[in-house]
Amino acid sequence: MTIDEMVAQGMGRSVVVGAFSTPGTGGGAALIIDIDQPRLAIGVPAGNCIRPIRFEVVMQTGISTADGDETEALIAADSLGLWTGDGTSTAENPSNMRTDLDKGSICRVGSIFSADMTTTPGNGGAAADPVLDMELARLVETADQAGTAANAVYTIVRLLYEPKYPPYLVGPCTLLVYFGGTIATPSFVIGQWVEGAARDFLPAIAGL
Amino acid sequence: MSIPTIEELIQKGWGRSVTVGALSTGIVGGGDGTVFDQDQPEFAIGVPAGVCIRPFYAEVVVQGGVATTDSDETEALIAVDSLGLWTGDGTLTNENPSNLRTDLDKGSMCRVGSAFTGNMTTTPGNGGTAAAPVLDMELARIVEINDQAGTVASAAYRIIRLEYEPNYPLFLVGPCTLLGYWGGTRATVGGFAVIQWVEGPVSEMLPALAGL
Repeated sequence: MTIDEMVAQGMGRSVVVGAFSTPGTGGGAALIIDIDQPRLAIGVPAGNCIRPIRFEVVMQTGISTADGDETEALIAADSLGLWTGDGTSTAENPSNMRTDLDKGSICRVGSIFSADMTTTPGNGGAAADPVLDMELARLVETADQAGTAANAVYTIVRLLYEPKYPPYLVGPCTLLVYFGGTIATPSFVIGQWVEGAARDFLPAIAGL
Repeated sequence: MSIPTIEELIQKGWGRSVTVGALSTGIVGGGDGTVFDQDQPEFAIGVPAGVCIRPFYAEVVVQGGVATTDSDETEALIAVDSLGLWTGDGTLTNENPSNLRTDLDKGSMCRVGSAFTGNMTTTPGNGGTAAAPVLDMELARIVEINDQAGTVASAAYRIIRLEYEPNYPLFLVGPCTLLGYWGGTRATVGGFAVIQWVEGPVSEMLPALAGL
């Protein structure tokens, strides 16, 4: 089945962090991105599969005050560990990419973590900080103050991940999105994926 | 299961294109002010019950206002009210979309309006009452931030262009509304949009699903 057909079948999902003109807070509890306090986490349970098809991070950069101030965004996967709901976060209820179908997801989706979360490996390992063993996309902006700044600077910081060949994220695993920087960086995320039973996404492989 | 490709739908005359702003004159963003306003969009496409659209291309180009303070912002947003249908209220300019096959007449099954200066509403298909649109699904956005950096003594050149051209366009099944906004903390000089989609009866655009 193509991704287009999956979306038509009601298997497409869309979630937003920040809304209308009000962004979500950047960083973790502090300003800099923090591995166990992501801005968005999508936990894919065992037996299921997702394919990320479009993720957009739009950042309202802070006002830089020093050379080397940076603003960054990262989309990555913990390919073994499943986020099971711990930490302090906002629970999200994804929309269906077919608007006549109800909201909801087979994945657990949370945003704007303000207390540490963990992921639990499917191999029986202990819960711990997520391991970002596969990064998908990133953006970094660095400031150069050029001495005494006396100029107007306009910045657009937007990361768009829209892969031609999206990976198969087969549960248990977690997709995570981060944004932040050395200065306060509130931002927005739009994330879209298709999801379903792994057997409907992938051919059987001997031994699995 | 097979669904018609967008290319096939355009060939059949189901493709539509609308422009907001024209030639060199954009429409001022924001509601009746500068910051954008949920019930005064810059464009709205109301999809009636029984109809489905797939927006496959949208471009918003904004001429931002001149910033005067740190963190002045200019932004644009394309979003969906997945339950509510705009039925024509508000103060606006009516638009008549072109066909993406130029040998066919203009027109659309959808109601299309732009440059709202009086509040509009959407009406949920579940019997709810008309109210300001609920943007429960956002599709694309851009934000530009200004850093004045002391006493400004420089020229700055800006391009603010949001392009939405998804690999896998959504199925917006009526009743629902596609909306676009632009504006900022400073009055924009103007903004332009080009929006293109395919439209048709739900039965022709989507497979039947059990229970629907």
